[in-house]
Amino acid sequence: MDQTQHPLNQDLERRVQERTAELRQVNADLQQELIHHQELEVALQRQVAREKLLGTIAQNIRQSLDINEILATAVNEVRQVLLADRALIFHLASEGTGVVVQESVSPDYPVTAEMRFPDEWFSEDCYEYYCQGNPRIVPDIAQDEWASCLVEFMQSVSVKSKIVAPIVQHRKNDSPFVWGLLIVHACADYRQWQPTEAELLQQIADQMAIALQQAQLYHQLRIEQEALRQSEALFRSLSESSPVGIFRKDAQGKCTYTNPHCREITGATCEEMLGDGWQQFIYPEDLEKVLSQRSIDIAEKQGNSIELRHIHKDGRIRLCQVNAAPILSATHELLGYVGTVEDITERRAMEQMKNEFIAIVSHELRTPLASIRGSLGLLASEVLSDDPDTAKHMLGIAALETERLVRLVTDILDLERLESNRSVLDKQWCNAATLMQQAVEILHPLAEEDQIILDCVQLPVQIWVAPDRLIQTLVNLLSNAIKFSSVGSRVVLTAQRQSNRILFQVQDQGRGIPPDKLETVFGRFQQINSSDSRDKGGTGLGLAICRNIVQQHGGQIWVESVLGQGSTFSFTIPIPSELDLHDSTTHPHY
Amino acid sequence: MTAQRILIIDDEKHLVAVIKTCLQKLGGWTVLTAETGQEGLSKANTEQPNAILLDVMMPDLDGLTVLRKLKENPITQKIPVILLTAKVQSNAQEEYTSLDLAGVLSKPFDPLQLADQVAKILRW
Repeated sequence: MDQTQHPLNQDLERRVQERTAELRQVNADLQQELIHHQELEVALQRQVAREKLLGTIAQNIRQSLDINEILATAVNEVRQVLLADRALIFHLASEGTGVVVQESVSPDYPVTAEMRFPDEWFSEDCYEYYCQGNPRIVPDIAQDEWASCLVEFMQSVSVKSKIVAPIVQHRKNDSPFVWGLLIVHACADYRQWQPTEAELLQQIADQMAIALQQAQLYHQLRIEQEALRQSEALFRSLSESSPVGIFRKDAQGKCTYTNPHCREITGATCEEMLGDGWQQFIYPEDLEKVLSQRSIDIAEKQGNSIELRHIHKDGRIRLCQVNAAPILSATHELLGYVGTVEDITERRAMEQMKNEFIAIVSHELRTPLASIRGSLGLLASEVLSDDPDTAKHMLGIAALETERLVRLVTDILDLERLESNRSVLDKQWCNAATLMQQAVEILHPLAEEDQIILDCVQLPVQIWVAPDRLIQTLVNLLSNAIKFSSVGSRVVLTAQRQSNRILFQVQDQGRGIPPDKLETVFGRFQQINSSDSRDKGGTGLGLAICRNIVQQHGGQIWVESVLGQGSTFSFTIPIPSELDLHDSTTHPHY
Repeated sequence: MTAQRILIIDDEKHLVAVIKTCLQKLGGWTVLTAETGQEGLSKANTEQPNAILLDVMMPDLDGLTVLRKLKENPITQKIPVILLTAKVQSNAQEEYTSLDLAGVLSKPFDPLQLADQVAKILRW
């Protein structure tokens, strides 16, 4: 039974063994496969991790638009990821200087940040190699054929091996240039840098190049935007604070902008002026003229210069000079108009006043001249040789009219000096009583001649005035009062102190002034009767001169009168406060 | 033939005296005078002079108003009027062309020529 069982067992045994071996083999294969898979997986994981890392670094770097922040982030990340002793960025400035602009270094090794290399030089091969964006592993810096000159320096900062990755940028013409180098150092030992590590470093350097370019562009943009903002602010302020109105219109003549001064002229806001809004602020008659001119200007692409009346919202009419210039494109298309509006109401009124004044002056001067020329002409001829009485009469006329002409010229020049402020008052402390006394003394002979009683109630108070001018004012008012008083009547000069001023008054019992002339008597050539200037020896400018002198002293002048009963001319001289006095004494008048 | 009678209307007393002397001595005319526009109108009406010398600038009625009133009055409207003006503007003459005037004389004038000028204007 054993024998028969034995071969069966043996067979079974062998088959089991075979089967076991087979299983072992399978097992071993499986194991092998597993290991291989695991290895693959690790490699894959590493790859993924590196990609992820690169992504993170890239994100960190490119998150910022600030160049310094980008560089700082880069060196920190790189040193951490590659477990390097030092990571730095070496910038090649355009003038051939190299600078370590950022560094992250282990505390055990020397700092190289901000070190400058004045004559940084690369061999052509080396620069070309870098320009193509190739990283370079230097396992032993002592054996670096492209940087033999750096060996000593490298040793001084403890470098044993390194990887260099160029940061390559492109010029406008697309040619590459090396902005700088991203470098990692091993200082502890001669580290065997892996190609994957060099590849990673280069990828980071590439990301940096992009980030740097963006930062530079952003920086440039910021500078341009700031310049633009400043320029815009400058031009806006020019327009906003301009003392003339400024507007813009489009090619159809619709308003697109008005500056604040336009509002002063029309009372309308910029919004109200937009489009055709401006038209409602133009005097209807003038608007027709403006609109017909506008169609011609637009057709001809030309500017214009017109005078028109603006109606202010408050109803006032302002005479304006409007100038508009066309804005043309390079292809001579009409883009719109820019223009100015100037309120010439006052200027025109002044011109008119001046013209009227000149007309009056010329009349006033020509009238005595006509008498003088006429009388002297007759005297010079033989016409009056047999008529001595008429000759004498003519001579008298010539003398009187010459005096009148002299007074007139003197007063015109005096008034002109006062009004143009060319004669600055030479003020000083004076006793009012003394000045009043002097004025009265000057007029005593005239008062006596006309049999007028001239009284003066003096006020002994110190006043701050130009003494000659104050006497001139008093003399003018007193002589007027005497001239227009009847024999035996009284003219009184008084002064009294009021709170912050001295009130001077000249009172007469003369013929008085009609109510409608109370204001105008202070104007030029506004005599109530023009024969006054001939009969009374006036020029028609005396009260205008008085008003000017009083105003230049900061006072007021006025007249109260009852026809047939007399007039009271009053004027005030302010008493200066301590502060005013200080000002006027410390700043001399020129 | 009686002497020509001429009325001067001007508020400038001295000038009137000078003109009067010129016209009397050199023109041999009879001269009437008025110191205001109002007085001038009434004298023109009552005296009916052969001509009127009228000042433009006068205080009560200005010369142009006096002229208008003279021309409105059938009694005085035929009397030739010479305007006296002290205006310097060159367009002064043009300004008066539309008016019914015999002529315009400007101040100051040559006293020895005045009578001749007046005579020429009036064709005396």
